[in-house]
Formats: sequence, structure tokens, C-alpha cells
Amino acid sequence: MGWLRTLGGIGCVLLSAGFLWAQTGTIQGRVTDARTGDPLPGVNIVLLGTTQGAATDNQGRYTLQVRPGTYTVQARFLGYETASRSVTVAAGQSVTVNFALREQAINLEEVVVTGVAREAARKEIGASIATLDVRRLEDAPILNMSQLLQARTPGVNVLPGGGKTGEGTKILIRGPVSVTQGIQPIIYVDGVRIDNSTALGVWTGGYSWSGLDDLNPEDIERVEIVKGAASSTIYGTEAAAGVIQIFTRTGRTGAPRWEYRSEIGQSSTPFDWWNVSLYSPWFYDNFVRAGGVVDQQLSVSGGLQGFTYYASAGLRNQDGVLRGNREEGRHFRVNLQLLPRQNLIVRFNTGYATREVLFPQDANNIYGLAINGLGGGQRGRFIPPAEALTTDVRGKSGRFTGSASVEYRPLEGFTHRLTLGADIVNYDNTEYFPYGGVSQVPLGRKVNYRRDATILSFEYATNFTRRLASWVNLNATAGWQYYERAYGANTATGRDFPTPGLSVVSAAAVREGTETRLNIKSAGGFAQIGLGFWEVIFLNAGTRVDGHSAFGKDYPYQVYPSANASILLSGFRFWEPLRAFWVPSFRIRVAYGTAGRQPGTFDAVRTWQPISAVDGKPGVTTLNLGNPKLGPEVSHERELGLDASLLGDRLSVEFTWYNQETRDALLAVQYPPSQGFPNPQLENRGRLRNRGVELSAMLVALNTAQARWSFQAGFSTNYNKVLDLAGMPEIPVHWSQKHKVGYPVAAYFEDRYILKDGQVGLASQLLRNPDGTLPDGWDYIGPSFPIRKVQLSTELTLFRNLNFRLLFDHAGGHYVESTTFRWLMNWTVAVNDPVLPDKAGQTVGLWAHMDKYKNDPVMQQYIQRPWGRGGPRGNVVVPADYWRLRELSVSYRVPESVLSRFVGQHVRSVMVYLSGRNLWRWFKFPLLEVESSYATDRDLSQQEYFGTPTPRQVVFGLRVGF
Amino acid sequence: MRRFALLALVGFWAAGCDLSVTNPGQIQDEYLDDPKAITPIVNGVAGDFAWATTIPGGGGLYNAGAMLTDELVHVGTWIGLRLLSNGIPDDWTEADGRWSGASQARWTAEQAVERLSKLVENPDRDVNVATVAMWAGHINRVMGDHYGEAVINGGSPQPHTTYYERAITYFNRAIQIAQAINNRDVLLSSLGGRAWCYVQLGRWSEALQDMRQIPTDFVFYQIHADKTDRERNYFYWWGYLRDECSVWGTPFARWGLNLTNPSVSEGDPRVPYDISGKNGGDGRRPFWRQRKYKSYSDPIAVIKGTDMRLLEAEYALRQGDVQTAVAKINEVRQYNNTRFRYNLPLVSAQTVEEAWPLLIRERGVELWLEGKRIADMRRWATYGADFVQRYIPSVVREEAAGKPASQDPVRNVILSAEKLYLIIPRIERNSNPNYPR
Repeated sequence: MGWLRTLGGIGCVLLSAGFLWAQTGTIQGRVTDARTGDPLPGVNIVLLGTTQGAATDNQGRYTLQVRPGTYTVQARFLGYETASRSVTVAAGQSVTVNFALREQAINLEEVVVTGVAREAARKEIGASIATLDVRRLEDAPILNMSQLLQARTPGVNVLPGGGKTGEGTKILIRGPVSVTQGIQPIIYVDGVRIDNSTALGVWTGGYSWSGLDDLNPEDIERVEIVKGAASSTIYGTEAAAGVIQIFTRTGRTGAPRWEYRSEIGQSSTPFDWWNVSLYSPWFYDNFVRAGGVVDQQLSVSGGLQGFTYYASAGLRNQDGVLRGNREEGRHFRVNLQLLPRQNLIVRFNTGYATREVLFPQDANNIYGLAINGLGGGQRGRFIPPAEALTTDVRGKSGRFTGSASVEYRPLEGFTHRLTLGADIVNYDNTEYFPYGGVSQVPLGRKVNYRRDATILSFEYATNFTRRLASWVNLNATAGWQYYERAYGANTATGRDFPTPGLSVVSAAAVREGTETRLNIKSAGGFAQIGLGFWEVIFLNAGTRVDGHSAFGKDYPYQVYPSANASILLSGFRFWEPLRAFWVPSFRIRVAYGTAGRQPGTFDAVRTWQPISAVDGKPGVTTLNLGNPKLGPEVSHERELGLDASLLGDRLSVEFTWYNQETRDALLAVQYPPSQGFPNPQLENRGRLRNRGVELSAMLVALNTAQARWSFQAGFSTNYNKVLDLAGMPEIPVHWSQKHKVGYPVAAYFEDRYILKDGQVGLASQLLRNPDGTLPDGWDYIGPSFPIRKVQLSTELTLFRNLNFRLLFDHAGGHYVESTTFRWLMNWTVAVNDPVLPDKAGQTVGLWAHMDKYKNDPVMQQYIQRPWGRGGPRGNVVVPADYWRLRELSVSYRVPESVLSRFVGQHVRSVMVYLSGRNLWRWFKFPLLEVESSYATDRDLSQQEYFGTPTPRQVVFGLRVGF
Repeated sequence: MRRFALLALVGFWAAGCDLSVTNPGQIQDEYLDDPKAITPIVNGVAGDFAWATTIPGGGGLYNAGAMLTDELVHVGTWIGLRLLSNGIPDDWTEADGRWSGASQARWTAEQAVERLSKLVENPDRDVNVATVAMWAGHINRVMGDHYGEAVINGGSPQPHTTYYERAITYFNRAIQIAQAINNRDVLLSSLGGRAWCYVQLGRWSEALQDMRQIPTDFVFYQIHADKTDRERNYFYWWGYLRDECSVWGTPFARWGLNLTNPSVSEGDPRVPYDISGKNGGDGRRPFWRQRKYKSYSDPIAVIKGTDMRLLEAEYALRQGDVQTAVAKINEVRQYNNTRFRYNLPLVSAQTVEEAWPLLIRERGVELWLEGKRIADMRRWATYGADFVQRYIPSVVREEAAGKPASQDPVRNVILSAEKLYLIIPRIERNSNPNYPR
């Protein structure tokens, strides 16, 4: 009945909307590039002070039906100066308002909403908020959200788990702000928090899942990225690692606009990328392939008076480069927007996606394909690699994300916005060893992991804007957010099937199951106040007060303050001479903010765990020591920055310096295990710091009617350091990774061969003091996350229709722990090996690059004395610097004159493109993949373990609008 | 508008005031102060002992002891196990896991004695109190066998014999209750455990009094099962399924029964193994699989009457009484022949020098992979360098760089090991303010 009432309500709203709009006038016009006269499609047309707006079509045209009155029409477009015109419209009258927008290197009028809880021009905000305009990436080689975010914004690192299709990614913004509570930002879609858990639930060597990749990039209009506490304060607890807010597409008033995109292509890896082992040729011939890619997308958008819509459906199938790896995705979205009154807007955004990924056994896994094939050829190292292909590992997800928001403007400058939303995710992941498939699991095994997560988000914000005097403007915002997450997971495990052909847990002889349920609630109120003076000086201050179900009994709430200032120097009169001298805009900004990261659900409570003992009887043993004073760790961030356009708007520069410090950092404090609780206990006792700079620059080198050539550069650094570990000398993270005071978070520490004073030996020998002691830091190797990132790109447009785009991506200064290298150095060819008969039984390592390092005295030590034969006891940690040709695309947009001649008015636009991803790579050290890191339960672990190279991806695409 | 604002305020109030959640499945500490929790507590204590001795850190304390002594040789890929096999103290993450598991088992057992003594009506006549006290004694005993120092409840390091003293205290309590309620298993197991501790402390006369009460056919097992990972006997994994720990390179390869080719071994059926035909995970050393434990469910003896007889034989030999020592050895062999239908020949010796190798071999074979060898080795090491050089067998240690595994150096266990025990690992040293850094 409730649903019927809801539908009825929607119907009434639609009918009344039609009535209300009977007596209207029209504002219409065309938006063009001021320099070339070309029409600009996709420009946002906004009636200031109302909820109404439109976007220009391919011819740059727009139409708005309005009630009689006086309006300020504003045209906003990324990369162009914002323009406004005032018009008066009478009933039945049509008024034309054309805009010729001037290209602008830096658009300080661009509107952002993330981090400010209202629509604010960028110039009003002192903190750095990055915006990604997805419409400009129509021809880019992007198949999922991770690729959409990769190498776009300085300071935003997308760290892939590996090169298999469907493998999850980690997103790290700036640097790790926590040593225990995860390093990934929280993600919102249309104002709704989504679940981005990475757990696959079945062990297949360390694959992770990326919930973000459930979203369809084709549905995305723009992405706003808040990089840290300086601007994420209003998100409070959990937002210290940043916030990514994704906005999906909305419809525009007008006739239905259909858009069809089709991509076919191939993923592949050249042999050289696999050439790490003597067995590589055999492995490559038998297990590596070129995988097909098919991506089909269809969308329609449009609108009636007071009602707009956007609907889409998408299908993507992609084969991985390893046999047994495939991903299939289906996406559906319907976004509706109702305007029952001129001061009221109601939005319903819904998306549903299913994804299924078939993984081969691989990575850190004795049943893995690569570890066996590259480590032992046909016979394998642990099992023959052919046996690995008899297994079936798959992850399946279904995700519904829906939101309803109401925006109401009872008075000019007074707005209420209420957003309700839900993200509901179901996973059904399985690992299946058939009867007789794998020699070490002769009777078979099945694991089924099912997880449901439901996130409910409620947000209310009210904003009041008033001009207090001709020179001062007030902006006040207040509101609250509530977030609730219910999570349930079951694992069913069955082993020993009585006969072949059985594949469900209940058919196995031995069965066990687990059930986990978690509930989290968080609520916070926030208030912000902003003052703008002469439209050039902007001061903002705010605070948020948070409560969270995971806080300890003695920790009721947390307060997060923030403040920022933005000064538009180019708006002052004294700037006029500089404006004349090619510096048209210049802004400086400063920001301070705080945000948190909450402890885990049970961290505050002393608990015991149930165990099975004495032949299946119930027992208990210790689990969690507990700490009732537990609260969130709080990240304090300061930013200084400037935005400038130079050379008469040909060159734009954005620069940000940040200094973030996490205080009361939640440390997994290890109490002596002799006290009975071996698990570490979280305590607010640590301190760590991230510092760095972010610089992005764009130069328009050539800009004529027939050609436009631009260059873009992004550069960022991150230097993070552990400042305090509550007196603990170190906290182990994963293998060689440790936290130590004075060193980067999760840095590598290990004994290794070094060259010192012409002598080669282990660091533990050569660095020893005369008194026999080892100096502090003798085993320090380097950071595990990049300390510098560089993106260099160029875009050339010829004859307005032919476009070339190139993007290089670099990360450097960091290291990666390679187990692949360690094992290939250590393992030798077996006697009577059928793949390498000429080397059978030789006690030489399998590593393929021995000759390359024959004159390197340090590497010779590893070659002669690897781990199993007297070398250092740890894995080998090697430099992870890389350069990649991340993207290359060529696109051609068929001119309208040609279209109208051959296909009439039915086809609006046609674009064809050829794009490639990861076409070239350079590694400082020849690993399979320096970017890959198998997934553990720790976000900070970085270890390469027979990871698949990130493949080349080449697609041919066709985009048709009609 | 007012209604809208009211709605917002109500929402804020409703959402902000109640952030309490119910998360089932977590056992809070106070839940255990309930008589209904007694059985799970007792089960947990027994389960922790079985787990700590066979699982964490690559096979628990027992597999670590097997690596450190001459019972097995490492042929796989786990760093911590290779270090031990090479006779080098393991300070790797596996050592942390091993220590954490053992400490947890010790603390939960001792804490259970305390908690149950308050929960039950008559703690001096309660089988549950006796049982957890017995397990508290055994885990202290096993830690005393394996660790070089004792660290109790975050305190400062003490001699490893502290564990034995502590074990005796718990065994005393268990024996007292078991005698009062006439519980044979708890009584004999505790007597055996106490005797073992006395032996390690050199208090032979007290040990002999306890040992004499334990019949040769008495065996008290720790229970393993294949129902969950935590209950498994992981000797089966490390030494059979996974090519990690091998009989190759040990004296047991000669003493035992080579099931693949019986003629090349002495054929003692108490040490069965086979030749897998492939190398271990390290790719160079042969993987010869133990077959004593044929499944994850096979129990492991905690206290055996045969062990007591052989300790009595050792005492006799220390007194120069060859005849008694040989009789005790043969009593064990005859018991095996009767019980398991083996065909072990009886042994003879005329002199102490002839008898010692027989006893050392007999103890090794009779107690193989039961977590006892390391204590034997440590005790024998105290008998002097001459004794060690003369009687203690050799085992493969380290790797011959650039040479085949067959040339890996073979050394006397006690001489080649810097320290024949597990060290207190970093996880304790770095977290315990009372441990000197």
C-alpha cells in the first residue's frame, strides 16, 4: 500500500506541475566560444535563485520555460568564464539570451558542493577541491571507475591489486592518514554513501574487490574529490582520508536524446612483460592470451515541463589476459527530476548494477597459475598449473543505489535540502575445487561467501545567503547527517565430495559455516558560516559534532572545527596593471580543517571468541582486550595554495601545499602476549604526518580556429612520517613493512645486500658500528607508497573534429617487496624437467634477468646466495618507480554538415575513436608488475606476489547521438 | 517551511540521540561469570593447548621443536621454519605467532583455574577445576621445554625453569582434586607432567616417585579433529600434505621405517615415512613424508607411560645401572610389540657407553613428533660436551651454497645450534616494558 501511495503522489506531482506551468514564457538562446564562434554543447544554464536549469545541446542551444518575471541567467562551463545576463520575461513571451563564453584557464566561478554542503563558487572556498568533468573524457580508454580516476588529479593515487580484469583497487589520496583504520576515502554517489568494502571473502591468493567499479563510468557527469581534512570537516568521522562524491547524469528539458556507445577491443600483455622466469616462454604460450572487450551503452535523456529524466543501460564483457579470468557487468540507471514549483525540486536517482568476475587461482597461492607455471613449468611448483584451471573462483555482486532529495527555496537566498538514500549490496562469491581436479585437494572443496550490506544515509542542510551590505555577503549553512550500516556475512565451507560432479556445499561430506553481523551508526550536526567581502575576500568557518556507535562508553562525541580563507588578488584594483600584463586571475587560499576515522565496531569492548575444541565441542578463548576510552583519530590538515592564470589565460597553475597530522592516531597497541590477549588493542596514542605539494598546470600552446594544442602537467609529492608510536619501537605491518618512529608509514625494513666503500655484503655486516652494534635505521630501505607522482598529457584538436590525446603517468621514490623475485632466484629447475630439458637439475635460479645484472656486484650476491642458499632471510625489496603511457586516444567527430547531408536530422552526432591504455611501460626493476599488490586484510600491505602485469587495452569505439 | 524545519530537527534528534547498536556474536567478559559457561571454558582451555602446540607460527611449538632438533628438516619455503632448521633462533613473524598462541593458552588455562574456583560450589572436589589446572600445568611444562626464558603476564624475564615451577604448582592442585574425586586420567596425566618437570629441574627423586605411579600402558592424548582448522593436527599438513618438513636428513630416516623402500632403513614402525618422489617447496631438498600422523584428526600423546619408563632408564644409566636401564628400554619395546603387534627386537648392552645410544635412539623413536625431543636435547646438553659429542646424533643444517642438497652440512644438533630453544620473540620484547631492551 505504501508503494501505491508513493506512486499516486508522484502522479499528482506531475499533474500539478503541468498545470502550474500553463502560464509561462520562454528563455532561449545559444552559447558559443567567444573566440572561434563554435557552439558549446553541455553548458550549464542556471536561473539564479531558482532550482531551474538546462544544458545546451550539440548546437549550443538551450530552452527554458519560466513563469513571468525577472531572472538572472547564468552560463557555466568548465574551462570557460562564467557569464550572467538579466532578463525579464512576460507570459507567452520568448526572450533570447545568447552567450559567447571566453575560454579561461582557471574557472573560479565553477560551482562545487562537496565539502561545503551548499552550492558555492570555487573562489569562495579556501580549501582545495578537485573536480573531474567526465564529459570531457568521452574518447578516453575507460572501462571502469578505477580507470576513470586513475592519473587524473594530483594527489589521487589509484593502486591496482593486479592486472587481472575485475581485480580491485585501492584509492589513496595524498598519503596514508591512518595506520589501522584504512587509508581509502569514503565515497558518495548523488549524496548517498556507498559501501566500498574490498573483501572477496574467499582466499584465492589475495584478490580484492572494488565496490566503486560496480558503478558505470558512462553514467557519471562529474566527480568532486575532497582530498583531506582541510575540506572534509562536514563529513566528520570517517572522512579523514578524503571524500569522493560522484554525480550521475541528469536529463535536460527537451526532446529525448538518445546516445549509443559501442566499444570493442582487446586486452593483451606482450611477452616481455612476463619474461621473468626461465619458464616464461612456456607459461606465456600456454596460459597467457589476448582477451576480448565488448562494451555497449545506451542512454536516453530529456524532459517535459517540470520533469526531466535520464535512463541508461550498459553491458560490459571483458576477458582477462590469463586464462580463466573474465568479467561481466550490467548497469541500469534511472534518474528523475521533478519541479512541481519554481522553488521546489525533487530528485530520484536510482542505479542497479550486477557484476560477475571469474578469477583464476593466482598470486600468493600454492594453487596459483603463475606461481606454479613460472615457478615450475608444466609440473608446477606445488601443483601442475593445468590443475589450477580446474578450479572455479568467482565474485558476483548486485548493487542498488537510490536516493531521493528535495530542495526547497522558500525565500530568495534561503534553501533547504533533504537527501535520503540507500545503498544495498549483495555478494555471492565462491571458490570451487572439483572432485579430482587438484591433486592436493583430491576430494574437492567449495567455499561460498555471501555478504549483504545496507547503508542508509540521511542528510539535511539549510543554507542562508544574504547581502548584508553592498560590500559584504553572508552565507550560513547548518544541517545534520545520519549514516547507518548493517552488514551480514555468511561463509559456508564444504569439503570432500563423495563423487565427481558435485559442486554445492551441502553435497560435501564435511561442512562448516560462519555468520557475522555488524551494525554501525553515525550521526553528526554541522554548521558553517561564510563572509564574502567585495567579492574578493572570502572567510569561512565551521564545525561538526559527531557521535558514533564505535566510540567507547567514555567517549560520547567528537568535535571537528574548520576554517579557510580565499583572497582573489586579481579582483583588487592594484592588480589591474598585472592583468594587463598577462596575469588575468590570481588567488591565494589558506585552509585548516579536521576530520576523523572511527575505530572498529568491537574495539572498545573486552571480548572472548567462540572456538571449536576437543572434537567439535564449543569452547571460548580470549579475543579483544577492550578500551572504553576509545575515540576516533583526528586528522588536522593545513593547506596553502594559489590559483593563477598567466600569459593571458594561456597558462593556468594550481598549487597546493598541505601538512596533515593525525593526532590520537588509533594504534594497534601490542600488549605483551604473555598477558593472555595476543591481539593488539586499539588506542588513541599515535601521531603521524603527511606533507607534500600538488601542482597542476595547463598550457594552451596553440589556439586557432583550426587547431588547438594544449599540454597539462600534474605533479604531487607525499612525504609521510610516523611521529609517535606510544613508546613502541615498531609495529609490524606485513612482512618487511613496519611502522617506526621517524620513518614513513608502513616502510620497508630488511637486511639486504649493499655496496659500501667498494665492499659488497649484507647491511647487517657492513653497517655495523666498531663496537658491534647496528646503527638506528640500518635496515631501512624506503617507503612503500609513491613519494612523487607525475602526469603529463597533451591534447591536440585539429579542424574542430579530430582529437589526439596522450597521457603519461609516473610514480617514483617508493619500493615494493617482491616475493616473485625471491622465489625465482631461489627455485631451480627440477631433474628431468620436460619444459627445460637442457637445464634440468641445474642448481641455478629461475630468474630470467641473470645476464642483465652480471656486472652488478650487489645483484650478483642475490644470484649467488639467494634465500634458500645462505642469502638474506627476507623477501627482496626493490625500487618500484615506473613510467607508463597510461592513455592514448584518437577520435573523430563527424561534422554536422556531413551528418545532415547523409543521415538527415535523425542523427545528432557521431564520434569514432581508437584508444589505448597502458600501451608502454618502464620499470626501474624488472618485475612482473610493480603496481600490483596482493590483497590482505591490511590496506597498507604492499607486496608483489606473482601479480599479473597490468595489460594493454585497445578499444575501438563508436558514439552516436540521436 | 516551519514544518520542513521541524522535520529536520526531529530527524536530527532521532538520529543523533540513539547510536547504540546490537551486534550479536561477541562474547563479553562478564558472560563467562556464569556456571553455564564452565564447560565452554574447560573446552577452550583444552582446545587452546592443542592449538598452541600444533598450529600457530607454522605448526606451533611442536613443529618448531621438531625443526630445532633432529626430528625433521626443513625443505620448504617458510622462513621461520628454515631458520630453526638451520639452528638459528627464529625471530621472524612465525615466532610471534607461536609465542602468542602459547601465551594465550597458558593465560586462559590459569585464568580458568581462578574463574572456575569462584564459580563452582566445591572447587576442591570439582573435576572442571582439576582439568583446567592440569592443562595449566601442561602448557607451562611445554613452554618450559621450548623457551629459553620465561615471561609471565607481562613481567620481567626469568629462567625458563620458572615455567616448570609454575607447572608443578598447577599439577599439585590437579593431583589433589583428582585424588579426592578419584579421576584417573587427570591424576596420571598430572603426575606424569609433574614428573617431567621434576626431571627438567634435576629433582630426580621426586620425579621417580611420580613416575612409578604411572603404568606403562597409560597414554593421555590431546584431541585433534578435522572439523575446524583450529582443531587440526598440523603435523599432517607440514609433514605430509605440504612439502615443508621432511624426514630426509634426520637420524630418523635411518632409524625409522621407510615405507617406500623398507630395506634402506632400520625399519622401526614407530617412525613411518615415505619418499614423495619430489623436492620440497625450496626446490632442492627431498621431501620425505612422515606417516605417523595420517590425518588432521590423529591425536598426539601428552603423557605416556613408556616415556616414564625411559626416563627411569635414563636415571638408571646416570647411576651406572646398565641392567635396569636396558630392562626399562625393553619393557617399552615389549609393550609396543604387545600393544601394536610390532616385532621390535629386544636390545642389550653391557656398558654405559653401549646403553646411552640405545636410550637416546629409543626416546627419539618412541616420542617422535610428540614435542618431547627438545627437552631431552636440552637436558642431555647439560651432561657435558663429551656426552654430547659422543652420543647426540647429527642432522642436516644450513645449505651448501651453490651445491646440491645432498652436500648440505650435517651437524650435531646441540653443537650446531647457537641456542637450543626458542627465544622470546619481538612481539613480547617490544611490548613488554619489563623486558630489558
